[in-house]
Amino acid sequence: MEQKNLEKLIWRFSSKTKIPEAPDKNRVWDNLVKKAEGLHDSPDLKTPFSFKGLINFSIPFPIKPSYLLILPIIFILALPAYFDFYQNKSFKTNPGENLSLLLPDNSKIILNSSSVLSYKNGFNEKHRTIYLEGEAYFDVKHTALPLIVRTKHGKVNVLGTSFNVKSRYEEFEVGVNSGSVTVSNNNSNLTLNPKECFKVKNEFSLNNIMKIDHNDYPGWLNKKLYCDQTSLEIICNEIERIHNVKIKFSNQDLKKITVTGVINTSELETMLKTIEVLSQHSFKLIGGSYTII
Amino acid sequence: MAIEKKTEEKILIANVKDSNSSSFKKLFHQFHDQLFRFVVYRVQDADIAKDITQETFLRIWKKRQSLQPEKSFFSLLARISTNLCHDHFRYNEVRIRNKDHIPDFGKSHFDNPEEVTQAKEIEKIIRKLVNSKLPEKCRIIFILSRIEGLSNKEISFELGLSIRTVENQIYRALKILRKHLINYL
Repeated sequence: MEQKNLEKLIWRFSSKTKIPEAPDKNRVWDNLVKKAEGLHDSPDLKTPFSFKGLINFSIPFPIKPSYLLILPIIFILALPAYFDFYQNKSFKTNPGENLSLLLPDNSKIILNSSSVLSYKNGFNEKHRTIYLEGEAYFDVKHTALPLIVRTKHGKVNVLGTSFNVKSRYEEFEVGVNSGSVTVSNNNSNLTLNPKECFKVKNEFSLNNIMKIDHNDYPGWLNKKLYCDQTSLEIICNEIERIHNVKIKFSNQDLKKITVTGVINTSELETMLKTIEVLSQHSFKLIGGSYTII
Repeated sequence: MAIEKKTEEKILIANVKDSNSSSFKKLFHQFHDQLFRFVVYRVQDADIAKDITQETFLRIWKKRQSLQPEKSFFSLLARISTNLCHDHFRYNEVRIRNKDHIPDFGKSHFDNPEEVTQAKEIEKIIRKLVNSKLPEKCRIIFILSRIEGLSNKEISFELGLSIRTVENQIYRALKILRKHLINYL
């Protein structure tokens, strides 16, 4: 009995310690950024988007008897939709935002901005199929199941490699850093080896394999934009996506000007300056959006 | 919550391993205050605790290459900060000699002045015993339970242990504390 009491006493008094307020987190963080090499003050990370969160709602009103009848009916009607939502995992990025993902099979994916990636329930158990709209870099772990990336332009079949897939508007591009992948659509298929890149516009013709001639592939991961006779229209689309700004053309002919070179994309100002030099046209900030003149 | 907390933590740690600053920032914001309270309970000085907390995060960032995403992040913080606390005590031997001098944090809620002194005294002894007599794992669990006020389930989740282990460790802590407290009463 004496022992029990003593334990109660310990239990009670052990939580009585007064702990001072923790210092201001933001200030400590600023300090850390100053002291730690390679640490940057980056924007706050958003939690990856998933449909699973949508169904965890609670009912805020008390249930009346009549609801008891209606609720099961709604439930039954919504069941197919519910399962469809529940089984899909989906990740989405906005302009100016990248997202790193670790999949259940330990494959890593970095999702470029303005892209959507999803996969169905049973990933790594029954299948390894990923749906992609936009652009992403894959570092795939080798398992018995082949990994398939499906896009509206065609699908990419792999076992274990690292590669980049871009499927945006009319553009479709697959580039391989290590291992090999198979790219196919309804009519044809081809194999890509390390340091090879396959690029198509509009039509899926298969003579478009090129060598990747730099070590920074894909450029967007290393904050670089590789331009080879690239039109200002495409470049400006990229800037709008990377930095979440709007760019207008004062004259439609300007869109067709082409530029060749490597542009550092980490800062908007330097990026615009480089393009000004390369294209011999300047940007003006008018009312929250840039205009090329 | 879109993603289960532990999965998210794993992803964040894996990202930090790849030198991703935003993921580190998120982990920092998630764990800073909890770690600070953990450290301050041990060193009993807000300024030193602040430094040790900051140094702990700094070390993790420096050693980010060797992070293990499957392991609990708070266990890692607790381990590194404990080492730093030991270093601190080693360099401040004077402090150890004067360890009976413990600054008080705030006022107690008791009204009777005599009870206040007595309660403070007991609390102080328990705190000292927790810091000096409990084994590492046992201490982390006990502090999380009594200071952070986490439930056994939350602790098991935070540290990646079974609830049974947490219960056993708390029971063990109480047994050890009781054994030593008898000498003081």
